[in-house]
Amino acid sequence: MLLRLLASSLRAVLRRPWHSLLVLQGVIWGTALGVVPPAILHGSLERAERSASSLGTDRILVAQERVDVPRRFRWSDLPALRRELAGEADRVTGLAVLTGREDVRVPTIAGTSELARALRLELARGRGLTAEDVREARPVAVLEHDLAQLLFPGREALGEALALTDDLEVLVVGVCAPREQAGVDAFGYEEDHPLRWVVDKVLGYAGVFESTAIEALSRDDAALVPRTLFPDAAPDCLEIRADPPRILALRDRVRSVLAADGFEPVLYVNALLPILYGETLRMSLELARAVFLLSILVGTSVVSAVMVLSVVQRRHEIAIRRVEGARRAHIAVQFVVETGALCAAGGLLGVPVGLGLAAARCAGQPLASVTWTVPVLESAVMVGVVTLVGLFGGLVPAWSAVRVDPVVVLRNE
Amino acid sequence: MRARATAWRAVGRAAWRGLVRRPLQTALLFFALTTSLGATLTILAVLAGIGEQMRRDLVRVGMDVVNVHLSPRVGSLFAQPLRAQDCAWMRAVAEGPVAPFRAATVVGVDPASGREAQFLELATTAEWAAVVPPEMIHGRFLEPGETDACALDEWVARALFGDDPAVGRPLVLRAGGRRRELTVVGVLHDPFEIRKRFDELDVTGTARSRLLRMMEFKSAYVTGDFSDPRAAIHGAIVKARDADDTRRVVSELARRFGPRNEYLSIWARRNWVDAVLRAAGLALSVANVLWIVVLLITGVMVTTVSLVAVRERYREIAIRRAEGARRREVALQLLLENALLTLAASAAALVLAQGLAALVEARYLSWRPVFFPGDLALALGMGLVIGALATALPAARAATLDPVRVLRQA
Repeated sequence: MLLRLLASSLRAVLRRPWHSLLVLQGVIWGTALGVVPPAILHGSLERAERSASSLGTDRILVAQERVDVPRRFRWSDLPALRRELAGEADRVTGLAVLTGREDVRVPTIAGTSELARALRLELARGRGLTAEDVREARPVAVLEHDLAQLLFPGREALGEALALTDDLEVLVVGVCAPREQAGVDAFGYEEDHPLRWVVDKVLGYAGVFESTAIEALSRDDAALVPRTLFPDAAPDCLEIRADPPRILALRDRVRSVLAADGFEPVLYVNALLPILYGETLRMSLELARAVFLLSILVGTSVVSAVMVLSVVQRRHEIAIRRVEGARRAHIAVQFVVETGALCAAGGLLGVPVGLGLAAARCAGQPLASVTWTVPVLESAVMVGVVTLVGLFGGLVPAWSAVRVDPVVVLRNE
Repeated sequence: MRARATAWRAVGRAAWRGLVRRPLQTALLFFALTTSLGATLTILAVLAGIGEQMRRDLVRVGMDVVNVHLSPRVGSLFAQPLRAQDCAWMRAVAEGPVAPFRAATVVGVDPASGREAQFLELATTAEWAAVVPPEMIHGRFLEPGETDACALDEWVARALFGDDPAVGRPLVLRAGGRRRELTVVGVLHDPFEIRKRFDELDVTGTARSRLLRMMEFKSAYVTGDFSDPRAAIHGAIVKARDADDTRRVVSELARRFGPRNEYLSIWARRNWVDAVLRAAGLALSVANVLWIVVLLITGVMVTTVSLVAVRERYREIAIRRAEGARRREVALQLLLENALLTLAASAAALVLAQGLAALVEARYLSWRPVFFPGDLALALGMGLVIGALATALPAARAATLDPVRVLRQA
């Protein structure tokens, strides 16, 4: 029975391909619009949490301004800062960027045994800097991937000697793997994205301070050495690690602590995650939902209008079916099933269209952590809602179809 | 003449009957048109509202003010490129008041509640109020020589004291191990209404140089010591005669600073405002895609319905033609039906949009949606044109039908 109903509905849909296609595309648009926001939201949340360290959503970089700064960072400031932030930050590391210093021959970053982790680097071969290396000022270095390639092309860098300055030669004890997310700046923007110029414009316009030390951190071309090899070098910047969702709160806390101590801190944060969790996004999601609801409303009334028209056109068909023995209920159900099936098909097709739109949107977005995924639950709900809308939209035409009197129609032939 | 009028009346009557005879379909189409036109108008009004609010906000920052400060980009070869004594000759150049300042990031504490906030401390003189006349919500600005008082931007007052009145309360400022207790004498109106909802999106704010943070209007104004003419200052704000005069003042100041100019930033706030509004205008025109998409989808829907609807009415059209109606009149009737429907829906959409905009404003926005007559006309006109185009094709086809053939087939 149900099969017969479905078959006759399907035949009716196929018999007027243009008509059906037009209805279908409306439903597809509505569903696609509803799928895009959750696809991007869920995708970005997942990535921001999963690859927090490579995207930098779990860290704060702190530098200082160049102009009239009352106090510079010293290595001895770090223990106090660690104590102050105990329980809030997992790690507080100092980094001395020696790149650009006249006596240093290769780009060099000096720090503690946490240096590689602070720079979000993984070791490929050899070992990292140890606490003993730092304590005893051992002349050792760990090379970032690009520097190892540049200095020792085609051969193993481990065990080679490298002259950092005129009178300092270090032994290469480790080589890093290339960064998982090469070229992502301190805010999480991709540096080689085609829209990078827009980002630079906006950041420049926002008055963002360009710190040469911070810029040096995301390049993959430095030698990492124990800070004790350069006793005169003070830390240029700090790296502070914490849970991504708490990063904004920690940022304000760090700024307070440092400002109260007389520093003029400039803080760089990839705050995507707290924004995704935040108030503004919740609001825009609600608005997106409203637009979706609206398009569903418009869609329903248009689908209904089209179906009402097709009842008029199909009075003849209906009359013949009645004469053949179909009952009023059958005819009504057929109309409801027809619109329901059309809308369900539109919904099912709309999901991939929406995902395509989301993917296109993400490709045009230079923020590395913005991506998309398949929002299974939301998509299912969307298709369900659209199908229900179709079923309800079928009620009105069904009602007018039921009122067709076969005798009157056929007599008028 | 009379014949023509009669013909028109006949067409009008036929169009009206065409609508009334299919009440269900007419109602559904009316509803669909009203909803999408209403949504379009609401989106337009909300977007236009952002632009208007920003314009209103930004004009308050002082269009005739020139900012002079150390450049945050370059460290200076001069030990102190800017000194208190420079203010004297800058006054002469600008023919207006000049207020020197030093900026520092500080932590403010409300001793009563223990609440903390970090903001910019601007040490300046009472002359500041002569350069940028402050809009006070409560109290007053600093008076000359008043050393233990401070005036707060609204944002700072709210962060420290919430909704409680701030004037007269003590405030502790901490920076670099120093601790000073001041009394709040006034609160300045926040020039950026728009940020009351969207402040959290300014994620790059902490990466801004403190010399530029002055324009965030999250500052505490205190009296600084500028008695030593050789004392270093971070910058000064200079009042030009009017907005147009800022160009002259900027170039004259740059010329007079000579080689020091390289280590300074000298810019008119008016140009900054223009840049902000231009950037916002760009973002808004991108956002305009939203309502255009809504309108286009509506257009496609309406076309669908019209195409189907006219096909259903071949018989009726044939009869009208047999009755003596001319082709043009038939086409005209169909177009008129559509225009009537769209017009009625437009009127309803206007009412709907007002309601929707009020709802959205109350729930989400920190600005007021604005209905510009020009925008309204544009959106409604586009709706009408889309509707007319959607009907024109089927109407033209219907009009060319041969009544004899249609009626014989039926």
